[in-house]
Amino acid sequence: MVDTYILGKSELNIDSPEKISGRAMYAIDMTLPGMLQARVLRSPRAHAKILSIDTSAAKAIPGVLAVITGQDLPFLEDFPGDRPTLALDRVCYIGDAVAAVAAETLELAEQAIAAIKVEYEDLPAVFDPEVAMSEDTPVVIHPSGKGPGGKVMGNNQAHWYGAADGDLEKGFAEADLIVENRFTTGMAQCAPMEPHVALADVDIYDNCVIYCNTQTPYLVKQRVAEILKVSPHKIRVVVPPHIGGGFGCKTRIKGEGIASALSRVARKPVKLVYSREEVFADTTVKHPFVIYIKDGVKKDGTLVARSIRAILDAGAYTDGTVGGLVTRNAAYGAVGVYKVPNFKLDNFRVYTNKPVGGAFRGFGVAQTTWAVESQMDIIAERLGMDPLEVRLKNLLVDGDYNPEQYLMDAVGSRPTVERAAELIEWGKPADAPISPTAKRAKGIAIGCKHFSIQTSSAAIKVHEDGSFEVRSSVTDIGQGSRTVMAQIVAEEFKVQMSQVRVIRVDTDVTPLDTGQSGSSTTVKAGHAVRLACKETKRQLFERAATLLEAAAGDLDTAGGRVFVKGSPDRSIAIQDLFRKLPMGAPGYEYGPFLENSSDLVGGAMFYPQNERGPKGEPLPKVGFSYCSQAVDLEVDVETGRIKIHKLVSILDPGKPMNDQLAIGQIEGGVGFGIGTGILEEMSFRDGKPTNANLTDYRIPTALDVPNVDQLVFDQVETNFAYGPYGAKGIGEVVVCATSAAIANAIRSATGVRVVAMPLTQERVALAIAEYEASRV
Amino acid sequence: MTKAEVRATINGRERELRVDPWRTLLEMLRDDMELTGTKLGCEAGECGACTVLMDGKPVVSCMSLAADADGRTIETIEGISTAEHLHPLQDEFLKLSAFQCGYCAPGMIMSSKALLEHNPHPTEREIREAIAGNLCRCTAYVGIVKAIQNVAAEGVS
Ligand code: FES
Ligand code: FES
Repeated sequence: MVDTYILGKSELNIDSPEKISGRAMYAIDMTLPGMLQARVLRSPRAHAKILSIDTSAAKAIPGVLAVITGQDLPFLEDFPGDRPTLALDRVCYIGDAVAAVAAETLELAEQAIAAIKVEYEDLPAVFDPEVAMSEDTPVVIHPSGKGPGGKVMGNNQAHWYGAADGDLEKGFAEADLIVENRFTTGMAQCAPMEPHVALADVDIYDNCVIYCNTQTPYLVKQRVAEILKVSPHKIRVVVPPHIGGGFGCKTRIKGEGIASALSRVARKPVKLVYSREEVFADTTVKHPFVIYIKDGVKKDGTLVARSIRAILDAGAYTDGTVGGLVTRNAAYGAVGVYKVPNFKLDNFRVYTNKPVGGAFRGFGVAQTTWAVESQMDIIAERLGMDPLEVRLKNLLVDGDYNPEQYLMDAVGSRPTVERAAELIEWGKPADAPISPTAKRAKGIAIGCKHFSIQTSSAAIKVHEDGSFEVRSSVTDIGQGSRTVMAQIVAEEFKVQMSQVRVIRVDTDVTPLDTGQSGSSTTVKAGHAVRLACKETKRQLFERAATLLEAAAGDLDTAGGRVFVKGSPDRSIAIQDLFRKLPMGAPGYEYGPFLENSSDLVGGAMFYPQNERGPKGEPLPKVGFSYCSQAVDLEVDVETGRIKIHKLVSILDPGKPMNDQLAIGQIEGGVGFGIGTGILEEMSFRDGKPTNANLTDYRIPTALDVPNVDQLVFDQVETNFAYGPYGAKGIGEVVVCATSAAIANAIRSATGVRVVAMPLTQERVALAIAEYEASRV
Repeated sequence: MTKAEVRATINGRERELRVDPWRTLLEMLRDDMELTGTKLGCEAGECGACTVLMDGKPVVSCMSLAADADGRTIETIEGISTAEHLHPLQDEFLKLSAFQCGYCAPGMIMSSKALLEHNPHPTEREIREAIAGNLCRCTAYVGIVKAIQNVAAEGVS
């Protein structure tokens, strides 16, 4: 980027001062006068018919003001229409919402929940997606529909996505070596530190205000309108500027519909705060995958064919469009890095009686990357080649079409992996392990994730003092998008950050946006804000042109003044474009007015065009970002414990708009990658969660991550012309490579290839023990 | 219903409160006193978001009864800075942009304050042990640990 004013610099996160002082207000901190507390009754059965629900005792408790069941709410035709807000005639997993209450206190709400009597009749249940999709499945949970292109779906198949290129059979026939493996990944929880919160207030006209910590405010607005059966204009979604994390599980509707429905019955504000257990059971989780991968390679390491068959464990329902999207997008993890002339991929998303799979940082790509990047090392080993060399040999480069027919551009795989190799001193053997029972080695992997290029809009209001207000419905779950939006405005108007204020998301004021997911925020909001600045300038310049006796096209702005390009002394302060009434005129003390208008607001929408493949076929518009990681670790062969000596993570952010925030994403990604890579897995017994709490489900503590000098982060810039100011979306790619890099290092150290992720201590110890036993 | 009397010094001021005997300290602070800087993440002693100092020691307030605060000194995030002056730890956390969503920040800051008051020159391991009960989902604790190290190196004022 040339000559930036503020962009690209490490501007302080505008929200940090509030956050470190304890002043930052989150949805959980909000209260309203007369507010009631809500609780949800959840299914204790994995799959059962509801024979009856008796709420009379609950309703009779004084202070209990609303009790609702599925019968009170319309069934939503949310694509594909399989999930009611509250269960109708059956429950499909343990944790499924059955009824809800609102009462004057939490204690009363809990009493009411306990007083609701539900009669169930158990139905057969299925928990393993491979069983569920087979002929032998004990049950079909939802009748299967048709997939894309009218494909008839098999047992329990919710979604299918396929891609193919070249001639697979021919490819395998040409290969010198065939490598086939099966990999699995576990179920994980986003586990944001702030639970899901919805505070809804429905007035007597059915106007509904919802304060919540959603990642997708406009979707909540639409869905709640459908649940309440009112026009969407009656719904106002307000998101406090601070959200205590999201990572995917706060996308789409969660408790907002239930809280609103309760509030409409009680005609009082109702607050629903999910318990930690509910966050585990009832918000969406990371889809577990089973991935079959078969590769054909030449002796020199050239990939000639690859087929992938992935089975995604959907859980009991589909989280709206997310289910189909994860099924589709998981494919991106298999096509962004390597040239594969003959390629086939089939992803199946399959229902089971478990929590619902949804958006989770990595969006399916983390799972496919795990398989592909483990597989690349296996190929190298079978051919007696260096794992880095095999990777470099097969990389897609700018100008290549990838196996899904995307024209590759700003490819960052080589620079990131080479830099990672350099910093881990690839090729130099690892030092001796510290523990006498451990073995030590290095591992490497390339992460590549698409970022969706979605629709967003933004508006900039110019205040009468010449400062700027940014209106966007992109929520900031901690990544700093509010700061980046302020930076863009400061950049465009050449003003200090203090002249820019980003207001909180409020669908009555802030314009349409498609939600904070898929690493899409930087690109879509960046463009929307940039375009809104352009429109705002146009209006400003038009107003200034007459006063400066210049053509609007000859004007520019900086430091709060509009001036004629080339003659900066012909200028006017922005605030002078507002008219002060003369002293004594009616209303003069109310501040300046704007001639012929109420507000100086410039709005714009960013709408990406589909991309086209070589034959003109439409493809969803995406970009690819890269993050390669290398690790030096030792693993205790007796206990399976992994100790990381060094972890290098190199990101290709395009051109970062804020260095410090980008590094923050790398850091957070490493934490997430280590957590989901070696510690975290939701476990079940007959569909019942056995670790739905933060003690047994272990997200990394300060003791589980490497020391500060053992974590090495860096960035390698690429030239992504389509991005706003060249930036890419980066929030998810940073989590994709960690687990494979670790597994690859474990293999080098011990000879053991672990094919199931996460690489928990028990799993690694068991794999080593089995391996040792097989050698005697 | 008998209420419990709680006389405590909260953020430097003597307070007298009457609370239900089963009410937690977290509920008393957040709901009764509107000290919402102290966060709620699990209500089961697992996340540390609700950490406050009781007689200078960090406690998870969701697992303490409000009644247990009787006769004690309680410090929350709201009590460690003034409108003009931040605590040195807050200054340093700010400078390093140590947090992202910031939800863990109040608890983390209280735990590190307690650490430095009783061990002004901790090793990295000791820092990590002291904050091991404070979960942060957004970071890998890099800025957090560094900030505590920096303040320790400068000495707490
Ligand atoms: S809320 Fe107290 S430890 Fe989590
Ligand atoms: S900054 Fe989000 S939990 Fe720590």
